[in-house]
Formats: sequence, structure tokens, C-alpha cells
Amino acid sequence: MNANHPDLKRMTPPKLSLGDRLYVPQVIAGLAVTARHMAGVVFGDSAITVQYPEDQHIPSPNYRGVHRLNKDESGRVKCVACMLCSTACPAHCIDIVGTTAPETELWGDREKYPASFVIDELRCIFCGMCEEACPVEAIELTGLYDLTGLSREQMIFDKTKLLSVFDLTKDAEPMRYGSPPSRPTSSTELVRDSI
Amino acid sequence: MWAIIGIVLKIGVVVGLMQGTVAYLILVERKVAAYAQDRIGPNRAGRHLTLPFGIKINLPFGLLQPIADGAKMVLKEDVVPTYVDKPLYILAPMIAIIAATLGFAVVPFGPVGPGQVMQFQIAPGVDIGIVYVFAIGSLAVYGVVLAGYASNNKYSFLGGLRSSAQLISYEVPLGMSILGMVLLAGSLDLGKIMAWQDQHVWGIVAQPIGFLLFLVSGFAETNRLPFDLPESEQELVGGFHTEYSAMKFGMFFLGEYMHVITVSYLTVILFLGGWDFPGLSVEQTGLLSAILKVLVTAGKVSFMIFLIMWIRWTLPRFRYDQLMDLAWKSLVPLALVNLVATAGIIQLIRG
Amino acid sequence: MNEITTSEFVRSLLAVLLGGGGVYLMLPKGVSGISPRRGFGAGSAAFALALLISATFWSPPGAGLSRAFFVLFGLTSIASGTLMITARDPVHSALWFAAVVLSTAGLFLIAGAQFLAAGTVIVYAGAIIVTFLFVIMLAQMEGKASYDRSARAPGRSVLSCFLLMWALAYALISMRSDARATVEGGSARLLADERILIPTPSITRVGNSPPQSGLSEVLRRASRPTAQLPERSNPAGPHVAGLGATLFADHLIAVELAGGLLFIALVGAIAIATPKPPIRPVVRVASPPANAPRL
Repeated sequence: MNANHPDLKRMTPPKLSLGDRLYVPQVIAGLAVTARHMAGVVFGDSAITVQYPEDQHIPSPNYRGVHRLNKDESGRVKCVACMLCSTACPAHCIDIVGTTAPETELWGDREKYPASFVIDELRCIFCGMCEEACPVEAIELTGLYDLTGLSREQMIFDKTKLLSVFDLTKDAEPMRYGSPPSRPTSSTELVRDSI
Repeated sequence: MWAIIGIVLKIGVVVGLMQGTVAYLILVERKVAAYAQDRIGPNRAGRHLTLPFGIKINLPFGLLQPIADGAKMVLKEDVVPTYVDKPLYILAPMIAIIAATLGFAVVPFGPVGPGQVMQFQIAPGVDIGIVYVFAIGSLAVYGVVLAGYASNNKYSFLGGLRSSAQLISYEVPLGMSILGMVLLAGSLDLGKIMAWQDQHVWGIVAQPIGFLLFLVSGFAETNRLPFDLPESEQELVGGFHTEYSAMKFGMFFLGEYMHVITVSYLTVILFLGGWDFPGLSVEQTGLLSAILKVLVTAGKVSFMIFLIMWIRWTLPRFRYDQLMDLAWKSLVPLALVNLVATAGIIQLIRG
Repeated sequence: MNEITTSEFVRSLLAVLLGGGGVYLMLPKGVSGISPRRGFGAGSAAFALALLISATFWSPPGAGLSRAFFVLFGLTSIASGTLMITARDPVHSALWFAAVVLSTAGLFLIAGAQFLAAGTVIVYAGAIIVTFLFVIMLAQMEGKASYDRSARAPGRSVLSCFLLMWALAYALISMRSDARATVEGGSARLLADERILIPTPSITRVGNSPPQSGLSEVLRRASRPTAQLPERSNPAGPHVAGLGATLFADHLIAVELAGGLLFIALVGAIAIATPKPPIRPVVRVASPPANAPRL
């Protein structure tokens, strides 16, 4: 763009008053601001710090944490192994092996179900695309944020582990079924040995 | 012989106290930073602690944090990169800490003068007083410049360059800002300047511009925000101490805080009356008054240190050209005008 | 002036020869027969020996600590000076210069000149050498230049310098033995001091003349011939105040002249450094908008 282009908007720096140019009044005003904040923490309780291990941080309802695989009323995994989530995943961290559902009464209304469903949580970027792609609301991101493990292998979540995350969080974060979930509560805790 | 032992003892006590104070100043700094940012700051170290013999203590405010910090500094791996200029690399933090410590030698931290119970000064009776402090203070720049050069790293190098220009520039207004007080008190001796303030008024009343100039230049000399261009984390990674780790880095840190203590003491002595307080005067020479005076000075110094931290967490950093403009176009002319005006008024009053 | 003894003559000659040879070996010489490191080692050894021999001529003031400090500062200042001219790295050179200044300030302190010591440190170590460092670091980032790797005409410069030094040492040694010879009993130092401070009878006469008042007195004191040293006026006065009084009474003209010279230099520097209006490329636009503010 030319320097004299008519669409170019020219900004002039604001004129400083004498007080601004002397620095001192402005410095004092700034000191007053920080003093207010300091007094607020020391004498009031304006500190926003959460004392973490004692007080649990409650993330916002649309926080995207660890995945879970939802179960339906009869306890079956809701996933129909359609591969939409693993196709949508930009990080390619979902690996699904689908098989034909057995001809039993329990699986009578299904054609396929996932024999294995593995998510590499270290690869996942927690974008939530899988959640949006899923036609049966089988995969969801929970509000669990303290995702830890001692090895890379521990961070590769298989179907059992993902289903256990559902058991862990189904009370705190009910399945959405189209309606927004209620706020997750402080009982959203990850039991250490289950994952 | 006893005199030498006494001096050595005094040096030991003062330096030891200073190092301990520095450790806690780092905690205070972190607390002030946290409070200014609506946080709480370190509050874990020292809580629910079980000592030997089953003694349980519960210290508030993270009071043992300095011990944890110090242990971290000492125990970390001391990495010396292969491409550094090794003698200078090792020398730089030493210079930083030695210069910061030596400057305190003539600073009176309590009453001094004839007839006192004790001379609260490591080297009493130095004629040139404050000039000595400036001489040692002007050596502190070597620590930063050498660290920047020896590290053989572009960021460190830029930090060192900035520091040399900044410190030379701000030494000029720093030196000139105190001349007004020196003229009024008629002496370079810090003890006599305090005595003058006790008999007349505090320096901040007599020399308000001098106080402001001293404060600003003192900030620049201690390399602290808003004048921390030599290290500026955001642009220069860590500036001159990018390549330093473990205790060598800790020594720079210690040096910086000792510098803060010295500058605070000087401000208090030159402009806030030193030990002067309603009810205290030069004539009192007893032990009780001496202790009171030391405490009053320490209290004022604590306030100054708090002020320095408060300003650090309030103001953003200067740009480099603004820094130079401030020194040469504002502070130096202002200091000259202040000096001439003071000299003129003194001449008029004294005839 | 007394003759110096044979032992003193031999010692001084040995010191100068060893020192000169050592410095010659230490100087960077680019391509030469001996390896630079071995040459430096041999040279520094010879120089250290010369330093020890010359130290036998020193007469440190006082005893105990002040004697120890005198020897320490003396040795460091000479050694740092040599290292300064022989260092390969210009930054190291500047730092050795700083070491020279600091040890000289220490010698000033021992002599009781506190203000001079502090002033030297502030002006030289604190400002000038830092500016040197600044310039070296800014100008020479690519490494050492050719003039860092080899000294220019090391042989001739060492020869002339050490000849001059030997002449100086000879004069000093003979003067010292003179002072020792004349003073018998009492404090040698004190008498020697007085002899230096009151060298001619005219000064004592000036000091005893009736004091005049005001401007004429200042002018009279300031316009004293500079070849003569003033009488020690008010020796018990405070140190810094006495220095100020001397500077602004006895040396008023010199101080004012120096101040004027520095001021002219400052004006000149500003005149040179004032930025010229920058030459901007002409922007070829048919008709720039009239209300647009200029860049």
C-alpha cells in the first residue's frame, strides 16, 4: 500500500499534557492502582488464587478435558464404529477397530460396535472435533484437567479406560442429549488408580 | 588489635545480616508481586512441618521459602558453556557481589559521631563519605558488562552494552542530585548530613527535586524495573545472565538486592533524615537511643525497599531511547538547575 | 646528589634488562620463531623476576598492614600495566587497565589522598574504561584485528621505553640516597617532605606576607608562578574542603582554563553530533491529499 493511499488512516499520538510529560503524577496514579490491588488481597479477599490440592478448580462447562466413551441405558458402549471421529481428528490420535455386532438380544439393534477404541492423549490437541463429528453422541470431552501418567503407555487410553472415565464423570457431567449439561461440580475427581 | 577484631566482627555481622535480609527480600518481592497481581504468592514452605523430636510447626506466609530458594540455587547444576571466556565468566558474578557489598562500608546504619556508644558504620570517619559509595557503585557495572561479554551470546552481549551506556548516563544525575544536600550540610560525611537534618529539616523538604532525581537515578543504578533494560526478559531472554545458572546466577541476584538495600539506606540517610524522628536528637548518646535510632533507620529503609518493589510491579519498562532522553535531556539539566539554585539560595541566606 | 652504589647500579640495570626482555617476549608478535605461549611464559617469568628485583628499592610507608598493602598494590599495578599492553584480547586489555587504575587508587588511599582515589575510580574505572569497553564491544564483534595479533615494532618500542625507565629509576634512586644521606636522626620522611614542600625561600616569604582581603588576595594566590609549589596552608583543615580551597584559590586559573577547554570541547561535540535533516526519497504522487498530516 502506498504511503499516500487515500484509505490509509493516519494515527496521531495523543497529545500529552504537562502532567503526563512530567511522569510523576502518572506514576503516582499507577502506584495508587497497584496499592488498591494489594490492599484488596491483604485486607479483603480479592485474590483469585485457588489453593489447588485443597480447593479444586472448577472449569467452565465447555472446558475440553479428557475424553470419555458414553454408555447407553443398557450399559453398552454408544459408539457404532462409524469412524467419523477418527476421520475428523486433526491430530490423528483416534484408532478404532470396528466389528459386526453379535446377533444377541443385547446387540440386536446394532450393526457394528468398536472392538477396540484407542485415543492417544499425548497426541490429542483437545479441539473437540471428535465430539462434534459423532452422530450418536458417544464420544465427549469431560471437564477433567489433571491428566497425568508416568509413561507414554499410560497415556494411551483404550476402550476400558475411556468407559471408566464415563463411570467416573457421569454424575458430575450427565450426557448432553442435545441439552446443555449442568455445571460440573467439585466431585469431578479423577480416581488415581482407575486411569 | 582489639579495634581490628571489632571491625572484623562488625563486618561479619553486617554482611551476614545483609545476606539474610536479601534472602527474605526475595520472598517479600514475590509476595508484593503476587499481591499487586491479585494473587497470594508463596505460602506453602513452612506449613505443617515436622521437625526432629516430633516438634510440629506451622509457619504462615511461606516463611521458609528463602531456605528452599537458597537450597535450589546451591544444589542446581552449575553449567558453564564451552564457548564462554572462562576467567571473565567466573569473575563477573564475583564483581557484582563484591561491588554491592563493599559499597556498604561507609553507610551509617545508626548514629555515628563522637561520644556515641558505638559507631554504627563499618568504616567510620571516612572523609569522602558518599564519594566512596559512588566510586564502588561505579564498579558494579563491570559485573554486568563482563557477564555480557564473557557469555559469548548475542542476548547477553546486548544486555551488557545497554547496561554500560545506562549506568554511565545515570551516574551523572545521581552524583549531581546529592550535591544540594552536601552543600546544605557542608560535608560529604553521611553522619554529618544526618545530624544536619536532625537540627534543621529533612532532605526531602529541603531538596524535593534532589530527592526525586536521586530516586530515579538510584533505580537506574540498581538495574531494576522500570530501568531493567540489561536483563529485560521479554526482549533479551535474560540479558546478561542468560548463560548463568545455579549459584553464579544467585550471586547476580544477591548483588542486585544488596544494591537495593544500599540505595535505600542512602535515600533514607540523605533525604529522609536517617535516624531522625520526633524525640530523637544528636545529643542523645545512650545505648537505648542508639538502638532506637538503628530501628528507626531500619524502618525507614524497609519502607524504601517496599516502595522500590511497589514501583517495580507498577511501571512498565522504558524504551532505550526514552531511557537516554530521560537521563540527558531531563535529569541532568534539572540536576544542574537544582544545584545552581541551591548554591544561590545558600549564598543569599548566609550572606 | 650522591653517587649510587655499585650494588644499586647492578640491581637497577638487571631489573631494566630483565623487564625489557620479558616484555618483549610477552608482546604479541604474529608469526615468530617461538610459540606464543612459551614466549609469553618465559617473558612473564623474566618480568616477575625484574619486578622482585625492583621491589628491593621500594621503601613502603609505615609498617604492618599498610606496608603489605603498599607492596600488594604496587606489584599489581605494574603487573597489570604490563599485562594490559601484552594482552591479545582488547577487552582483556581494557580490564587490565581497570586493574591498574584500581591499584593506583589503592596507593592513593595509602598516601592519604582519599578524594583523589575515589575520583580516579569514578572517572577512570567507572566511566572512561566502561566507555572503552562499550566501544570495543560495539566496534569489534568479529574477533581480533591484525593489530591485536601482532605488536607494531615491538623491539624498538620496548628498547626506548625501558631506556627511559632506567633513566627515571636512576634519577629516583640517586635522589632517594641523597635524601637519606642528608637527614641524620629524626624522621627522614618528614624532613624530606618539608624539603619538597618548601623548595625556595621565596615561597616562605609569600606565605609570611600580610594577608590582603577579597578579590586581590584570590588573584594574588591564583597568579602564582606554577613552577613553585604553594605553602601548606591550613594543614589541619578537613580533607575535601582543603582540596576545594586549594583548587579554587591556588589553582583558580588552571581550573577555569580546564573548565573552559572542556566546555568548548562539549560545544564542538554537540555541533558535530547534531543530526542533519535526513534525506528522504521524494515521493512521486500527483496530488497528495491536502488534509493528510505529514509523516
